Amino acid sequence: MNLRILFVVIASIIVVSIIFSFSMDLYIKIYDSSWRGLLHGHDNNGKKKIFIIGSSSVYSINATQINYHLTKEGKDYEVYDLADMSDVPSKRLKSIENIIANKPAIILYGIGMVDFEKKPSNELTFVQSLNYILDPHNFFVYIFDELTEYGFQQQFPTSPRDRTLTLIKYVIRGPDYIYHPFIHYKNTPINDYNTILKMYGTPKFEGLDVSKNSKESITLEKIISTFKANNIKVVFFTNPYHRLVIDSIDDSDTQKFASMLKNISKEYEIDVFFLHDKYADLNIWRDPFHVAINPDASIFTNDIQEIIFKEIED
Amino acid sequence: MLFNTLDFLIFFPLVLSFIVLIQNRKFQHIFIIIASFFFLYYTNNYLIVLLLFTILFHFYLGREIAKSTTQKRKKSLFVIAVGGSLGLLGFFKYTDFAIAQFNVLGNYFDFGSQIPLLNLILPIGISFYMFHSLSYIIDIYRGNLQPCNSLREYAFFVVFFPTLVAGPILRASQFLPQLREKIEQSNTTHSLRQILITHPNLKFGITLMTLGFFKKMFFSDNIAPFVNEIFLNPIGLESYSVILGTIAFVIQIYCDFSGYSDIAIGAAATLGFKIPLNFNKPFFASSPSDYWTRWHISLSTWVRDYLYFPLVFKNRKSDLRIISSLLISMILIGLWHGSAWNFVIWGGLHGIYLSIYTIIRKRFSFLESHQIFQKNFSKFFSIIVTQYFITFTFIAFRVRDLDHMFYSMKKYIFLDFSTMQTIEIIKSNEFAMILILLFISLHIISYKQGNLAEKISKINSGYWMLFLTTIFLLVALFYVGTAQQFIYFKF
Amino acid sequence: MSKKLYEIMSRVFSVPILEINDQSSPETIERWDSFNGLVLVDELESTFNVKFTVSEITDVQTTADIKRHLRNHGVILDD
Repeated sequence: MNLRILFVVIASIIVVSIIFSFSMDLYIKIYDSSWRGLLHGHDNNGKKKIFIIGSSSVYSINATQINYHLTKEGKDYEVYDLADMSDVPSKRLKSIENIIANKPAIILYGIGMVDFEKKPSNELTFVQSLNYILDPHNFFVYIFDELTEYGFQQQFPTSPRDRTLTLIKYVIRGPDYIYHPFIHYKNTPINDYNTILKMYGTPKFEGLDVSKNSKESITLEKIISTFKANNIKVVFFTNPYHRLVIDSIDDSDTQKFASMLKNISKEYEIDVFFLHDKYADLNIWRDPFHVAINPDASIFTNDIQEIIFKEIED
Repeated sequence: MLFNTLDFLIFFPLVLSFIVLIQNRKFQHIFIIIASFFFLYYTNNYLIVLLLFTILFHFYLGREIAKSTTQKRKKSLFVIAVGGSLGLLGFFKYTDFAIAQFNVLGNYFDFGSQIPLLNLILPIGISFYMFHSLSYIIDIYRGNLQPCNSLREYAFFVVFFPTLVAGPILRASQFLPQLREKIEQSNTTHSLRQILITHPNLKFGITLMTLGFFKKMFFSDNIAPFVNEIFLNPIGLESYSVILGTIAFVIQIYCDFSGYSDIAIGAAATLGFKIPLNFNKPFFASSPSDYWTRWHISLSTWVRDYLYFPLVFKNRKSDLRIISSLLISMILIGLWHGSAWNFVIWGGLHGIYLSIYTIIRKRFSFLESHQIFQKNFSKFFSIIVTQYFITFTFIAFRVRDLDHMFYSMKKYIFLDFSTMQTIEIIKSNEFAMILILLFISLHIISYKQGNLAEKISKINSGYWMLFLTTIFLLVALFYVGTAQQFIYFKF
Repeated sequence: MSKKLYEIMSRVFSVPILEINDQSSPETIERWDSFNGLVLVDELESTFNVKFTVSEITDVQTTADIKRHLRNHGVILDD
């Protein structure tokens, strides 16, 4: 009798896992303009499209403001902020075909240093073993990652709820804000240094892995080549971070990250703009990783706007 | 370890499997004890020493109290046991609060330098296992309980992992007889029973745990962001926004806490232990005292039996004695929830409500059985009025800052009737609004159904699988994930 | 005497006497809360001429427990 219960529970878990993993990627469908998608019902008057892509660090760029200035200056372009929660190059790869299908003229790609965070080493050193005894949770994660090979934590979206809500909204009525289709674009407060430190503590990083063989570097190059092969202009900028984040990453790692991007820039003839520590000490932050969506935090949007205008001229 | 983690979802089936495999009852109990220590160690590491000390301290003192031949010795040991427990609890929980108040006073009287805060880490579960231990000691002292024969038995009761970290608060007199081998209906021996996982218990337990996860992860975690937004800075909000935010908070905290309790009670049920309900439809309470027989029942009955009754019993005819006992009890319940003035205010408000209600009952006892109060309309009206006042107190529970608190309270009571801002807030928080409406509807339906978990656990396998799949899917699809809690961690 | 106990409980808790038995408890009788519990204590003390302690009143889960405490005070309850 107990076995029957066990069977039912396991069967439910399997069914749910299948439906869950299927539905978590469904949201990419919104790129499909013939579906209830990105440009469904929006007449963009044949203007050329500029897509801003990257993680949620990028979502506070006010595309509506940039579009207003583009129209004012009589430029024939329209900007869409397609920042996506928990985006990294390896995840972005999934939606790349859909992006290309929408034929953007320019892609502005926000690359974050934290996207290249080193994964914990797979070797079980003595020190690590000791750490695992003191913190069994990390050991559990290590075992789980080993068993699932890919790294379960990486595969699992950081916010299934947001994905599901996005999907439901799109099915029912399409994007709320045409220029910010993925993330709910609403004002967030600016928190000062002490508040941020109190609310979020000091971030901890294991270090960055920006070598040519790292998974994210390989994927990044793949993404760039695909865009270039489709005649899409690519421009990079580095995601801005709060002082707390900048200080928690070694200087040497930051240098390596910058060099990596400079090399890519040279190899693929891409412009790179380094913004990662530009606003580190300004009072424009909602949390260590996100500039606030706030009229007093418009410097980020203004700089991106300047980059876009420059790239249009070139 | 917390319940709503993957770690627990692996831990729990492993524990059940081991119990099934281990036939020897002695090893079963030792295994549960070790698993429970591991459960606490997982998140609390070295503070587990405190738990160990508490177990040994109370076990040996309990034995000595029961063995005492003179009242003097009995009382001295009792005072040491209770004093020690409350001392430890007070030290970890309230030292910094007390220091902060001294500093405030010091500033007021210009004493000069401030006493530095100790910044103590609050050991997880201390409020619960200390209360488990105190109930054991006090019941022995009162002669209502035989002390445990073995350390193994006592340790099992204190560390039992389902209730260790977040309750419900166990009573030794209710739990120990379930642990001991029965020879007849109510007689038990000193040897501990075999832990058997039976089919009906397992099904009921899993059903209840599933409902608990649903309440906590689907409702509470998804309503929380809306509540946080409202109360981050409520100054300037319209009355209706404040009321909406407060209602949302009450639902959030109910789903969070009762969900957690359900998971604990369900987990205990799978192992064959019956733990009383901790929440019993508090939103249908028709008076302040009715409310406290429905909300956090394990805490209110604990305070009633070990604080309120001793305070009030000797002089229960005196109104002053009743009022002061109620106020003390409720303020302490408030402080139990956290060491800050807002919890004192919350408890104090409940104390005032209960005092007024009790005095009215005492003075006008004929009213209760009057015809007009038997009508359905009266019952409905009583519920609405009670919920209005109770919801009001939760402003104090949620809002720490006193200026924010008084503003919100003022707006709750003195309506400004503006709606523009509230409509905007509703529009930009559709999901939370839908959840609130959904919760209210489901809750009303479940009220009519009586014991929902029991009913669901009796349906056949096919429908039961549908139930599990639906709930698991909703929890998974709407899982708030790491983005909210560990927002600094990435992205 | 058992009937007498039930009569007192019926009056204090406003519940028909037929609904009361040895297993009745605050869970089964709606009006049995701490307020009415103390009222019951008063009634029992004056009817049976006994004095209860705090230990005894907190050691009551069901009606059977009340009977046990009355017995301990020498009150004989026959069915």
